[in-house]
Amino acid sequence: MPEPLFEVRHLVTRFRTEGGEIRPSRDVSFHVAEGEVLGLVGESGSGKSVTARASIRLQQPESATIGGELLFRGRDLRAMAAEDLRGLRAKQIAMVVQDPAAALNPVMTIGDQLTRIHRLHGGSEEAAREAALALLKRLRIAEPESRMAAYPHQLSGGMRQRVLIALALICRPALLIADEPTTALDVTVEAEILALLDELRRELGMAMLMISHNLSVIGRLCDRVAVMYAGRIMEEGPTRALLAEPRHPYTQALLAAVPKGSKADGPLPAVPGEPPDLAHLPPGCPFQARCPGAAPECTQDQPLREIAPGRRAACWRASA
Amino acid sequence: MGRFLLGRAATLALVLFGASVLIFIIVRALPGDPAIAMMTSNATPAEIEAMRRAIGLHLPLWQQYAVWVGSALTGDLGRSFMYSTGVSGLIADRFPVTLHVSLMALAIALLIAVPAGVFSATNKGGAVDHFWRVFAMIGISMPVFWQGLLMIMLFAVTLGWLPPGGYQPPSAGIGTTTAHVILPAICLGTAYAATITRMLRSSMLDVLGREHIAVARAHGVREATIIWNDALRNALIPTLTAAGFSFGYLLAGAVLTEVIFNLPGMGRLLYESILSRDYPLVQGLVLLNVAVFVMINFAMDALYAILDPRIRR
Amino acid sequence: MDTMIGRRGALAGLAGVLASASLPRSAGAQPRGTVTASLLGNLPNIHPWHVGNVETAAANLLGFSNLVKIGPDGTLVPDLAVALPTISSDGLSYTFELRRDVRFHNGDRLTSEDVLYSFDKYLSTGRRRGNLRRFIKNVEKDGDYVVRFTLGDPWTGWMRLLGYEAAIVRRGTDVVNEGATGENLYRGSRTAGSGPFIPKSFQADVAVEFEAFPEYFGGAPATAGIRLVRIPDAATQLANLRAGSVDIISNCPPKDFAPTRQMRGFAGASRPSAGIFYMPMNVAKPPFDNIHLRRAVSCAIDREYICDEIYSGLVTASALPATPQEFWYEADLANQLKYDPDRVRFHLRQAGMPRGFTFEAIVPVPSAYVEAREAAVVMQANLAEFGIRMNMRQTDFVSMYRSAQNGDWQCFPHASMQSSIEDYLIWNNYHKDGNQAQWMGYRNPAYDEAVMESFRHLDPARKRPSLRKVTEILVDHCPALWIGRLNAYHLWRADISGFAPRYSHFMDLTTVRKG
Repeated sequence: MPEPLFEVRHLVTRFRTEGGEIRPSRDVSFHVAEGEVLGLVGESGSGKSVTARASIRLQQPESATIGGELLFRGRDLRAMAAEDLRGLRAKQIAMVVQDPAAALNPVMTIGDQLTRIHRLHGGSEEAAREAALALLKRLRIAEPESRMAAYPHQLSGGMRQRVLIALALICRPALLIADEPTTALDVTVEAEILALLDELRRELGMAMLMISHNLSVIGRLCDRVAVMYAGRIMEEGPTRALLAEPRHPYTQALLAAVPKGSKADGPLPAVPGEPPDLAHLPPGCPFQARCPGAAPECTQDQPLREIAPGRRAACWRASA
Repeated sequence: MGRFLLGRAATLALVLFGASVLIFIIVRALPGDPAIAMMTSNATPAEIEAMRRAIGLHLPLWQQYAVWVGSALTGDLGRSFMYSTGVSGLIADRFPVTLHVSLMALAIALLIAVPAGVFSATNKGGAVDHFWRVFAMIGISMPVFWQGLLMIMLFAVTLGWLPPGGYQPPSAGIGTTTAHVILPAICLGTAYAATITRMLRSSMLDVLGREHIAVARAHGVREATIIWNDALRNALIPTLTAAGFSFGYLLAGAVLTEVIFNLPGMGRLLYESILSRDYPLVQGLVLLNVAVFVMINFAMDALYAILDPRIRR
Repeated sequence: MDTMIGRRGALAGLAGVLASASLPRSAGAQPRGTVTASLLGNLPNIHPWHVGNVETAAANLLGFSNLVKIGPDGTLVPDLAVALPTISSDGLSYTFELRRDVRFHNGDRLTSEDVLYSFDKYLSTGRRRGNLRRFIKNVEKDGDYVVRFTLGDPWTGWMRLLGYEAAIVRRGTDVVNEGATGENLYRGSRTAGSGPFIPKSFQADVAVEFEAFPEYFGGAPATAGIRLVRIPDAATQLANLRAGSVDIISNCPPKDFAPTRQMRGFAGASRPSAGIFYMPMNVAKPPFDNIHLRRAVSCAIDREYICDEIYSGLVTASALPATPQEFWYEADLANQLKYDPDRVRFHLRQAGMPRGFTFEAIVPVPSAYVEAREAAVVMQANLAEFGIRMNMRQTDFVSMYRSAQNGDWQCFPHASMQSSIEDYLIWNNYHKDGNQAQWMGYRNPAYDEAVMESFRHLDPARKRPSLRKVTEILVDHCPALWIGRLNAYHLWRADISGFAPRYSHFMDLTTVRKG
């Protein structure tokens, strides 16, 4: 196996809250190969967004501490000087987030926000403007010239999301972290944006870490999927195989809860039982309280282990 | 923008009319007869009555109001009982003093508060944050006369660097005028800075937690740019609006500061006019204060529109 | 009857003349330097007919002269008159002979016409004209240099007012000329007065500047210029003195007075003035319609503590209007009202309230001269020891007077400045025609007669028997609680001379010199 583009090993994040210490990522490991799309799926509160951001050293909240190795092309982002890391941003690693209304600076024009990213990594004002205009056109934004002078509040939600994507792609990064990029949009716009994103990804040969709680989005875009629950990856494997034959009781419960015939469209269905209290997790498997097959073994730590080629699960029961 | 201004001007006129009626009534509801205040203790009732006639207090209220507003519209706010001179002239003498000190205080406050608020927010919970928190506490809670006297003792008496008080207009030379205004401006400015620092800090913290900051960071925008451009430009909007209203209070004059530093400003004038029941002067001053507030409100709206593109139409 | 003023008064007057004559004012000596003095209260105008406080009085004294003025110790001294007036045997006619060498600032000579003009204007428009109009029935001239005043009642005290206000202005100088001549008596006219200094500039509440008038009839002033600046805070005044921006200060925080006076480079002095700190009691209304309760309160107050500890010795304690140093002080009478716990209990028993009673004191805030609230707190504690409860109602001066005029008051401890205690306080407050007597509620024909008798004389020796009678009645009826007399206390830089605190409280800077 060639060296992956991006590899996260034993990522741990923790921060203090009034209710106690929270660890949104507890020994999380995954990798993304060049041009590959990895989906990170889980209920809200499972720690997927914090994990994804921490993996590129954008801790949320900023006071969070992180542990583990974050290898991008073999170099550990955690060991890098801040200035070197900054050099990687946008150019190598970029990010698209969920809420386009909040993700754009309300007091700067679209043009200023786009061109400054381009110029940060070298290049003239002219070149930046051309690149921005070209990208906006490519993203099928009508009248890109006038949009450049507009402020975010003057655009529609879908338009803002396209601008956000343009912001991430303007320096043609090798890896895109897409943190629920379409959640805030209505269904038709969502489909359009996803198609556009996929098209551009292929064009640029870009790898992607796609965070979503929508199994249909994951199924449509991702090569592989990792399922997160309470700060841990429960199961990981090729998308098709994993969705067809889930091995972990949590993944099974998740898929079983999808209404028949709905083709897993829409947000994650509710799994029976109470969601876990992240500040007070039991020892061993975090899912044990809701697991139909819970047993005394479940109070032991359940490391992610290979159960079949390319498939891993964190359950002593899981097997090929 | 034209419609906006026109609407604003109409509001302004309406507010001033309402305020003028209110002021007129409230001033007359103050306990104490101005005729007595003017005559000292040993005047006879007949003399007090004569004085009441002389200053028009015998007329029905509505006539007194009509006379007052009628001349106010021509810029004549009446004649001060106490000073035996035109109210407009008195205000023209005093307002520049207060304006000068207030502007200086505003400059000092912003000079302190912007960096202090920004660094407190970016070092939340750190030494810098604690330092400014203590500063803000002192700035807000230290009695102004005590701070003022301490500064006078240090800079004027012990060191002899600055005059202990009094006012010199800018026409006396930039050095002279600044030397006279700097201490009271610091006195007012630090208290003012403390408020702005706290507002800016919480506003910065709010903005720094927003998604667009994370996005800018994710795309390699320099931390300094993120703080001083992306975050500050957003955080300043609510802060400046609040600071603007505080500036309105400054323009009304600060009695204690003006007393300690012996500045012939608006605060002292209002204070003394109330003590002596100098109706025309009280009315003129309060009306001016209302007008200043309305103007500042207007200026803040305009500033808001400039700073925040979402307001612009 | 004394057709002339008393011998002691004449001697005092002479001493004053000699004192001013002995000041270094040799002809040809050039006046030098500018003296800056700070004043506490507001300085709304410097109009001689609208003097409203001691600050404006101090400014008036520089620019104007009057028939007589008041010396540092309170004695009358001739000013524009060649001597103190000749008083007719019935005490109703006062004849002044004017100096012939007096020039106004514009060069005009002063004559009796100017005196007539000034009194005509003052009696019809002056701020406190009621004070003089009540007594003065007629003013007439007898040639260019003699003026005769006819009074309705005998009253020597009216001349004391002339040291404070109603100065003589050049005839024709009135505010009505403002438009035509640019002169304005409110803001200082350069042609109206005949005092040692000419007003140069005036900024209300900020400063008034004077320059020496070389042709002043008393001799050219020793100082080229005088600047009165208003500094409305006592502590700031002291800071200004220490920083050197002011040469003389009218006030300082009481506790700083003694220490600063001792400091190198500074000097200061204090003396009892015509101001008094006292508490009138409403004899027309319970509880103070009961003489025993008034006496009980008077005997319960520890005046020494208030004056020495609260006011740092800058109020001279006395249970009577007079201070122990004054000619009309009566120690045996003072003993009846001074602090004495046994007497308090006795009077409470007599009133049928052995366990005390409750009353309300209106305390003016802020108060003039001394902060009444500080003494009121001590009084509260003093009274509480006898079960007497003093509730305080704090209000401003104007509201206080309004309450008083409406009869809505029981008592109010406050400082008051009079032009002379032995004439004004005994008349204004308790004589039936006194301006404040109308609401003081005190009526006593025997008292009125004693007061009028004391008004016939200027000579202390002749005044004293009637003043003793006045004081006896006051002590008997106790319509007020007398706490002490306000001292005038000023501080100045050591290079200042020719200046001292005065009985009249306000500063007389006419003979000040620097260096």
